Amino acid sequence: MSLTRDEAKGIVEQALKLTKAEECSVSLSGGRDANIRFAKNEVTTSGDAEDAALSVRASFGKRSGSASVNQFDGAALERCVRQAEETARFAPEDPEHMSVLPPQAYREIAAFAEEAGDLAPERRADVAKKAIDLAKARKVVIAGFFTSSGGFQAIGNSKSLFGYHRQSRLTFSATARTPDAQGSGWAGNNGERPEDVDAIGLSRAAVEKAFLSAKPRELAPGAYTVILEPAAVADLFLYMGFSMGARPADEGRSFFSKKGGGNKIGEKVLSEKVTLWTDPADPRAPGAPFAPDGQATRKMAFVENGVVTNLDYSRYWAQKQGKEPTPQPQNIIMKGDTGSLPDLVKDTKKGVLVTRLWYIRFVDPQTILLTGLTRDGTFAVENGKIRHAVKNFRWNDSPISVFSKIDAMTREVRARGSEAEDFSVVCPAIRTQFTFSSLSDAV
Amino acid sequence: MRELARRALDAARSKGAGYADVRIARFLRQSINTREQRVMNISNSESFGVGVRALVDGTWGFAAVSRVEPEGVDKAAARAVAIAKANRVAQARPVVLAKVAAYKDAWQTPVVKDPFKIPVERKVDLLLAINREALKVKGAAFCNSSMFFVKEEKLFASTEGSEIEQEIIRVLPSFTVTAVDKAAGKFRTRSSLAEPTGTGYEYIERWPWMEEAGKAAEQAVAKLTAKSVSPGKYDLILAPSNLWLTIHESVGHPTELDRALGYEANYAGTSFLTTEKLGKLRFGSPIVNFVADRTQPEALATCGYDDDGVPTGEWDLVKDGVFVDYQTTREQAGWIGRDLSYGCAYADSWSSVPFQRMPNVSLRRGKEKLTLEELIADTKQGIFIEGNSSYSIDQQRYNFQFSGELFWEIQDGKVAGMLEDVAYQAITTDFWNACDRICSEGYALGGSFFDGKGEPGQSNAVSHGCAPARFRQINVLNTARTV
Repeated sequence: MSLTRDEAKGIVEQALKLTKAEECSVSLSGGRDANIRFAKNEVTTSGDAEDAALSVRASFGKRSGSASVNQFDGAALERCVRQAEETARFAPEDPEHMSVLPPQAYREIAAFAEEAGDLAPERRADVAKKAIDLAKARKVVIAGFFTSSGGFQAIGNSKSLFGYHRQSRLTFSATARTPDAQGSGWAGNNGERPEDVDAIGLSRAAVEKAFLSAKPRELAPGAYTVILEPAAVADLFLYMGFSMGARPADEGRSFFSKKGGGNKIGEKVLSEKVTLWTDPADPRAPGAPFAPDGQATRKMAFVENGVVTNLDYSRYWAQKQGKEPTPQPQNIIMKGDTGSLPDLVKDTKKGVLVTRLWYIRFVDPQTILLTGLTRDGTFAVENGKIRHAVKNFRWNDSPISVFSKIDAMTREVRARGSEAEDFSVVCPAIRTQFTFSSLSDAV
Repeated sequence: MRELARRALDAARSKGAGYADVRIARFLRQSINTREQRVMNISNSESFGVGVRALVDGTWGFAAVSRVEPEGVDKAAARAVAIAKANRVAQARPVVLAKVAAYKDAWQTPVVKDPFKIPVERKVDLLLAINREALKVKGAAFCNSSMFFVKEEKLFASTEGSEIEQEIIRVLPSFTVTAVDKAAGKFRTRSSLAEPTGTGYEYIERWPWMEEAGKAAEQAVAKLTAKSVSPGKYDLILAPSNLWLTIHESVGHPTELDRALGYEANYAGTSFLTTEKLGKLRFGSPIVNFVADRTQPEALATCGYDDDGVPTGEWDLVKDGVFVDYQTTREQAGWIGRDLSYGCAYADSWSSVPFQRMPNVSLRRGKEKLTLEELIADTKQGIFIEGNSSYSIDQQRYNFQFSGELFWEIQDGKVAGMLEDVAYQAITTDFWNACDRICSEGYALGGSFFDGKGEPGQSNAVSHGCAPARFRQINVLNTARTV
């Protein structure tokens, strides 16, 4: 359910008026999400859901409780507020309690296209049909997913803070498979406006990769020079990002902990080619002007030329350590170089080109060792050309190691990972060293 | 509610739906998170809404709204039909639903104690006591603990005459102890071996939390200096707390019919268990039998009816080592020539479209009388693994890699000490064909609260039962690295 700024403010203020708590913060978000799925060259399921939810956090001194509800009549709001208050009364005192923030200055960030939140079902069906027709014409089997959504988020608190932001999102991804199921290609991306997502171009790319990836040959597992496409890079960044909390680092339970105590801020841990920041106002991946805790979001660097310049500090931990808190990042941006993926392939004497990674999980958080697989387009590159498809691999490697060994990269682009499918990432394709540990027959 | 449900069905029919169903559902969730002697968060959420699914000329449409009132259900029904009509241009073969009788019934998880009626203070006291007990152990630096409760109240009604009310309850308790050696720059964790279950609060009351908290803390500390495994081939004995996840990934997912036929190709992937292998493929050794059900007491996927309105039951997936069947919904049954659905439709919210989700999939107990102790005594050189941590499998479910919480070296039939840095990697059918003994004793359920599948992603809760079992000569990796 999409609410205007005034409608959202009305509900936020109504909830705040109802509370008897000493402090109260409220968040309200919702919208309309619609989608269509297709597989085996026909539409399968689709949906259109409208919803909005209000969350209330009530505090008495250092005791807090939370409740949320998705109905906004007077009785439902009262029930929600009372439940948060009742929970707070029974909660033990929290020694780390932080008072709610006073009003903050939030900038306007353009991240909403009216059309995205109200796309007619015929438009979505048309996108699916064009992808299917394209696949049929090339005699491959396609499966895919197209979503269009538009929504809002609002926050408010008992110190008169208020923020409102609208965000739309379109996503498209497609997997094409050859009829003998021996080749599979994928392409996908996200954007905020209908023109940001080229569904037909992505479908075409998936189909081309399906043909290219057929009849894969075996390469022996081991260490290889590897070109990781942006989708693969995005996932590795996400997992490294999960590990960048300042508190676990200071507590000695993170890769970013320093031997003997403290953390690795100021240490060079990645290749000097790696510079990593977040910027909610970057038009390539815009985000909200505020974080859920009310802080104004801002441009923040985390890695500069391979040196860790910051970690993720909550308001409490920042205060305790004498640091600036870091509002929740709305996106991840990695500085690229110049040139495109074909340029990088052309510049590579021998290596493996990886379209995307799959089923990535932590193996050892101490070293951020991850395992996962390659999927939907893995190729041998020789003398600047893609020579043939290779069988998929299972890999065991750490993004720290992978990002330490980068020797070339492309310009940065918007990317959609397999695990980071909904997070906004802008990054280049990179050339680095990567360790494959076993072969997989999966196509 | 029933009147609104009937109104939604009438509205869908009047707009042109040949079949329609409606779910009016309320999802209640409560979570409590603590660390050391601090409560980090206590939250309660309530989500209420209506979802209408309509079939027009064999094409699906689905729409949902949070306004459960006449205007809201009319809107959802009209949108569902409009989507179905729009999508007909891209439908090659009309959807045909397997037959099901009309049921007017009610079902609820047979709980002793509704977790939502247990005072929050009692839950907080228990979690803080767990943390306190763990932190008594020298070297244990941190302890996080949590409880998560879910209650689904839903009314299903269809144009075929069913009206089914269900109340489903699940609980998920957990804790993790962390031991830190700052001087060496090393840390290790040990999480509880308690499992999520389809029970009430009674499961939490019967688990030996204090005993486990102290033991877990000692084991987290011991992990800091445990012997690093030498990579190679080992006989593995897997406890139910580890093996359930291997069953989930390597048996549960590949026997989903939608995956096998390519319907999940764009996300979760397909399956190596393609239909021509049905009844033919030797999936595992002859002692390996997998059963699917949605009826097993205390299991997470257990319910009375699925979200197609089909009564739940039990059936074989792998019999005497041979792959014999799939998981199906009403839409899927006909794809492999079956008349009836196995009742595997589920939607994780009123706003989500129902589709095929995993039932409980369990390894039957061994027929020979055998205990874990006897199995260890029968093993010359191997590793006994408890609990689960890292897990990963490819998109057709061939190549997997799993780790665990606790690794015990077995030498000459005895537990010789703790190992670290262990992960096992295998190809699914090689692994199950290497299963040479399954205990008759020690059967237990493990499970996942958040099994992801579909686009948009949906979460399913599912359990897997098994007794300890042995697997011969499995590839073990050493996961220690220097970066």
